[in-house]
Amino acid sequence: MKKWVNWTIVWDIAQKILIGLGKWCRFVWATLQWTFRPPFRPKNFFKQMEFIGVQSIPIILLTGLFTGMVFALQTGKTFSLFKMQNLVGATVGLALTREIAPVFAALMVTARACSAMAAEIGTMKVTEQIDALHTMAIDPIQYLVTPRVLGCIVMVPLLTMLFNFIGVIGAYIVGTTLLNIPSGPFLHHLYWYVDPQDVNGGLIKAAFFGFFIAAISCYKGFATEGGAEGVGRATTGAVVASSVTVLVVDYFLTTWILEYFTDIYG
Amino acid sequence: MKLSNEVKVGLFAAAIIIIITMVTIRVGDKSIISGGDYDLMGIFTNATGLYPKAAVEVAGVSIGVVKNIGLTADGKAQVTMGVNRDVHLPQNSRCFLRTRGFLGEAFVEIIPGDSSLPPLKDGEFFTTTESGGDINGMVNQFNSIADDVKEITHTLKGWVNEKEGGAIASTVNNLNDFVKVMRDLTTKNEQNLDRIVNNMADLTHEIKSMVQNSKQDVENSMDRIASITQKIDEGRGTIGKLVNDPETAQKLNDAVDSLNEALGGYKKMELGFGFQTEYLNRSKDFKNYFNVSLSPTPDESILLGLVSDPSPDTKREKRITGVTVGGTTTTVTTENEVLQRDSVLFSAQLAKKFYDFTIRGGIIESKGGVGLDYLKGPVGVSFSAFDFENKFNEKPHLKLTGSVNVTQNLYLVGGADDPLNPAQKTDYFVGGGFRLVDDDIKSLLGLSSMVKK
Amino acid sequence: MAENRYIDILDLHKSFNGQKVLQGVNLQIPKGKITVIIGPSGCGKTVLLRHVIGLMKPDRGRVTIDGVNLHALTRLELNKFRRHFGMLFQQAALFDSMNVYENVAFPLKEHTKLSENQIQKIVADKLILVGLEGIQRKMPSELSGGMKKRVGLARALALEPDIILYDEPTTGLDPIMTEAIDNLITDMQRKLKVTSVVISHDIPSAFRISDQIAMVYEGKIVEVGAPESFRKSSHPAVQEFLKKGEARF
Repeated sequence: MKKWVNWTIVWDIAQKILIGLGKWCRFVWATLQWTFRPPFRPKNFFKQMEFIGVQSIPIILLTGLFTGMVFALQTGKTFSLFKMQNLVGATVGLALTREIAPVFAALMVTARACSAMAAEIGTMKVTEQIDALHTMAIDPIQYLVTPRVLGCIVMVPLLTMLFNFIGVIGAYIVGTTLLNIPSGPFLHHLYWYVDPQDVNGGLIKAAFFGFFIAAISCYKGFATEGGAEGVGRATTGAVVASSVTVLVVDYFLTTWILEYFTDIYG
Repeated sequence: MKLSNEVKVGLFAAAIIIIITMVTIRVGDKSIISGGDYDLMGIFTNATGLYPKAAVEVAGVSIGVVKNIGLTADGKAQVTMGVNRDVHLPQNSRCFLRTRGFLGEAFVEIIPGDSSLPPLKDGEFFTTTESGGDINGMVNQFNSIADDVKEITHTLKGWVNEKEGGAIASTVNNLNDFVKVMRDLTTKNEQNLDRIVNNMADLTHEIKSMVQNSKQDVENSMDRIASITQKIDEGRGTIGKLVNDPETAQKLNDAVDSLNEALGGYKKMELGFGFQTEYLNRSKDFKNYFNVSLSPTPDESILLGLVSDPSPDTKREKRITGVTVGGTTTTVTTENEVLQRDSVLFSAQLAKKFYDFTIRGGIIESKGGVGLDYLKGPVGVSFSAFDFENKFNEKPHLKLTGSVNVTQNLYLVGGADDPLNPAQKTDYFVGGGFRLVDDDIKSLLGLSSMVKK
Repeated sequence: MAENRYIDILDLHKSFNGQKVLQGVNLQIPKGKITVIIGPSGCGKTVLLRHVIGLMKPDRGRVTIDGVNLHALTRLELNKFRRHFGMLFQQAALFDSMNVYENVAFPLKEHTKLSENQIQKIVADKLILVGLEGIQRKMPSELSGGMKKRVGLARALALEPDIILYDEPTTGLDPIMTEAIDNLITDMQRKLKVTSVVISHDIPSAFRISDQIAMVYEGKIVEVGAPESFRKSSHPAVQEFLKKGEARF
């Protein structure tokens, strides 16, 4: 009888996935350990924060503004069917703070900074720079990964906040000019429906996203093998894995945050 | 000057901290309860559409927010409200669920009780609560309004056979005035005017007795209308219901759209009644109109009317018959004119006012039509065109009317009816009518106290 | 004779994905001498070197340095121990993001508490040592392969290690540069009395600089000895390798 499922192949694939996951967990564990071990290198940390955060400001401003504008336009068109245009500000505000800003900021940082991390670390790996660090008695995880992961954890929430801000400005511009929503009700509903909990929830999510995208991208960089082609593969892999992880983790975090951040005001 | 990474990161972080602070102050400022609040509870049979953070208002002023909505052991909704510490509500204050606008968000309205009573304290319950209706209830209410209106028109129609009442003395006076004016105005059609006067006399006589006889009925009807208009005024119904129940949304979307258009989100719905009679010169008969107008806004209204037409347009029918003679079938086409006298026609129109002009459209005398009215001071001109159906080369039915208001409620009309009809000559007419709006109706029926409650 | 057993490699086994690369390597490296390990490409020379500095863990066997078992050390102990090493990589492995000065100063900044002035002085000294004065501000991408290797050597020397490992220091270099590097290696050994381990498949340069030559073949050390005795080895693989290696030049 013919076998429909080749269990050896299935087992091989499962094994590969499990090994990858296991290695990643060990990598994350090492990163955490090295985070709290001296020597601390604030210079590296600031350099990464500058690279991840400050240099991402223009793209965040651009995407944030247009996201807010498009979102306002679309919700405005729909809400006008119910004569509810005044709620556009609140809707955009809630969507931005809770979902869109953290996810988009994380995806932007993934595209801009994390691909660069994977490429840089991958190049260092294939040109033996990582080994060089080892021989110089410097742990590459501590030297390379820790500042990047920390930088992302700190910077993605800050960029998210910037995204929130500029997105709402975009929505306000579209709302008051194109949709003719009076600015009083627009702002009133925005302030009334958006709570600090929403903003905080989004920022906490963003911090988690920052951790995941940096940890995944650095891991992919460290796992690079096979020269320039390998670096390319690692970079692509890092961006794909980080983006997918952001979206998947977002679902779980949203569930949890909704669970724990809705004590009084929903 | 080249900035170091630390400075750049610092500047960025500082900017974001400023934004966070700003945002936190803005969104965190539930200013109504920012000075501290205390909790009050209300138990509602149904809290449909009410969500946490909804406003709590007294006389339209926000005094707090809904904090939590839970379920009591016996399956009712327990609503916890945070109320500003500075607002004190007496113990017999009443608590209502309301909706803002036709589709607005739900909120809680509190009507303070006797200020002599001690105020409610933290954690205490409102003794009197009333839940709001949902959109289905709203539609049912509309249906019952329609029923009531039908009932009233029916009753008014029946008034043409009865006797004397009390609260309509002013109307009678007005009608007397009207009759006087009519008498002064004309000598030519004395006979006809006599008939009008007689009719009017009969009518007023009968209205009086009618009111007396069926006072209970009318009271009931008006009671219902009053409670319904009150509910409409308050704009009950819920956006939550509409948005959450896709079926409802689907079904009601169109209705709601058009209603909403007509209501325009205004709360005030003005109701008007009118009666008009015209003496048609050619037909030598009277044409009577009974009108009801519903105006959600001063410049928009729904006009409903019943018309008794003594000389309606003839209707043509084409009939095709097959005649078989010796195996060959021939089709014979015959055209018939059908005339149905004393039919009751109805009108239903949407009207929109622009300055002194009013554009109307919808059904006029049971046919599709449009109209334009012009009213300046006491003088008005109005033009209607309807019955455009053109299968047999008929011309549309036009009607041109001029009117002069004699008093606020009484007016005279004159004009030309159906000038394009090839089958007959233009019908010139004169006549008069009265119209009553909201307050008149209330005072007329002595129900003002009831309505205002 | 502890002198001769400064680095002691004992029965080292290593395989990757089932492919046996090292199959019981035994080698003693004396202190203060230059040992050259030769062998055909892919025979496991580099893998052997990586075990010596603890970048790889053996499947079996051990490496002891001055009596310390390298692979029994914890990560932190290993890092401490590695300060005794300097390693020159095949591609020099300079940090792309840093200029020459920062590259050479890197181990100093990381492991010492020297002032910036002292570091500058040391870096300048090391660069003079490798014959590249005054290129502190250049980026690695601006340097030629040979210059990169010399900067890499300067960096390896920065902490004045006891042991320097060279991974194919002359591969891909022209003969003049090869000789310069060879001279550098012997100079270091003479001046600083460091123990040098050189991986190479360049036979002439191996004979020029070495105090001891070992040959790896099929995962084992097949011949070891002073250059003169090594040349007279009866092992057929050694003879073939020497013949072909000499013939290239």
